[in-house]
Amino acid sequence: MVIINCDMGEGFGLYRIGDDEGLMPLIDVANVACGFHASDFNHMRRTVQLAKRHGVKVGAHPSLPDLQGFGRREMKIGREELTNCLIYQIGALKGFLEAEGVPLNHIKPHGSLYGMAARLEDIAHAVADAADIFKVPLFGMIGTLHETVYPARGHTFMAEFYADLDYNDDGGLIITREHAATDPVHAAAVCVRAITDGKTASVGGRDVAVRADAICVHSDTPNAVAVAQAVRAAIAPYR
Amino acid sequence: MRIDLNADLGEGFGPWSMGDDAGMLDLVTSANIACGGHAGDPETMFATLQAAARRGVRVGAHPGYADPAGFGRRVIPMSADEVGRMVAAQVGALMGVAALAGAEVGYVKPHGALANLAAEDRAVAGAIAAAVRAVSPGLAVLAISGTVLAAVARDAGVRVYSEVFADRAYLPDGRLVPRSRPDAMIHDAGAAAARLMAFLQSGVMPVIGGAPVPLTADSVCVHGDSPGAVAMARTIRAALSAQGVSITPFLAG
Repeated sequence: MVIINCDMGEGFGLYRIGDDEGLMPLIDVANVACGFHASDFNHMRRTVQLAKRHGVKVGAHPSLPDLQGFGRREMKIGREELTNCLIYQIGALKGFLEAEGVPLNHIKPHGSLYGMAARLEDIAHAVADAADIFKVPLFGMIGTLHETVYPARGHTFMAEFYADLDYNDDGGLIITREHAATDPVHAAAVCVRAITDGKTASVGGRDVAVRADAICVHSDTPNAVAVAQAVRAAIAPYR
Repeated sequence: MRIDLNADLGEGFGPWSMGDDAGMLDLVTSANIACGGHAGDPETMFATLQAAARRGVRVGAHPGYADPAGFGRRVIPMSADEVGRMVAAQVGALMGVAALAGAEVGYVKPHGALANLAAEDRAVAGAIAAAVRAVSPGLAVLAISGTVLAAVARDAGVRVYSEVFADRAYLPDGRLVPRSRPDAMIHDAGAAAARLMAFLQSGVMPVIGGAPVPLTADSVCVHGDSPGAVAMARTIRAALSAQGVSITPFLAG
C-alpha cells in the first residue's frame, strides 16, 4: 500500500506558502512544520485541525533552526545538539496533536536536515535518537543512511519517492531552493513506474533504483494541487 | 497641485513574500522599506532597495517592533529610550544595505503599532525623532498628519512631511478609525479616489460621524499588502492625474 505525503503548515505569522486547504483532501499523511524552518504556534494548531478534519495523519517535519533560510541551508551541528533541537520541535507538535486528540504518525526531517541525515552518520543517529523518544516511523530514502541507520536503530523506515523532484545518476535527490512547476502527467507517470518497477530515470537518462512506500508531493510548487490530483488518480490502484 | 504616493514595501521575510512590490513600485513615488524588525531581511532589503532605485522611487526606512510573528502590529512594551535605540538600529541597517544597493535612504516612517504609539506618546515620538536626527541630520520623518510625532519631530528640528491614508476612514478628531472596527477601511477604489481628490482640493478630510477636519498632506499612503492593493493604487493615481495633480516625491530628487 502506497500513501501520499505532503509538507504542510509552512506559513509564518501573516505569511503563507502553499495551498494547504486545496491539498489536504488529496493526501494521506501531512508532514507538519514545527516552527524552526516555518510555522508558529497558531499555524501549527490550525494545520493539525485541518488535517484532522480531512482524516489525514500527521507527522512531525522538524528542521535545522533557520527560519530565514527555510531550513534549506546546511549548518554544522553536533549529534546531541541536533537531538535536542528535534525533541523540542516534535514535542511542540505533539502538544497540539494531544490538544486535538490526534496521534503522532511519523517523523520526517525537513530540507537540508533530510539531505544531511542521508549521508552523515552523526546526523542520521541524531534523528534516530529523537525517534527513540517518540517511537514512530521515520521517512527517508533508499540508498542512503536513512535506509541503513534507522532500521539498525530499531525504527520503522518508510521509503519515499518524490513526484516533483529530479534524481541524479547516483539515485540521489536534487533538492532545489525553490520548486518550479512540474508537469502533472509526467509526475503521475514517474510515480507509477517507481511503484511498479522500483526505478526512475535520472537527469542523466540512467535508470536508478527507488522505492515508494510513500509518494511525496511538495506544497510550494506553483501547480501543487494539479500535481497532487494527477498523482492521486494515477496511483489509485496501489493506495 | 502635486502630491507624493507612498507604500510599505519589502515586507517579505526569508522564503515568504508579502504583496506585489514590483506592481506597487510602478505606481508610487516613495517606498517605505521594512528594516528587518517587523519584516524584511538583508536579502529582501537589498532587492527592494535596488528595485526602487532602478525605477527612481525615493526610499525611506520603515522601522517596526522586532516581532515578525506579529508583523509589528502589537505594542511590545519598551521604554522610550529602548524604542530610540531600536529605531536607530533598524534605520542604520537599511542605510547600510542601501549603500550596497546604490540607493539613498531619505526619510523614516514608523510602522504599525510603533507608528500608532508615536502618534500619541510624546516620549516615544521624541525618542524616534532624536534617533533619526542622530543617525543622519539629513533624514526626514514621514508622519501621520496631525499626530504627536509630526509636532514633536518638527520641534526637534527634523524635517517633517505629513501623510494621509487613501483607504483608511477618519474620526472627527482627525485620527484614523482603528483597524479593529469594521468601517476602518475603504475597500472601493473609486470611492477612495473621489474622497482623496475632494480632500486635496479643499484641505479638509471627510470623517465618520462629524464635520470634515483640516489635515496637511505631502504624501498619500496606499497600502501594499491587501489583495486589491495594486488595483487600488492604480485607480487613485489615474484619478489624481486626470484631475491635473502631479505625482511627485515629497523629497526633492
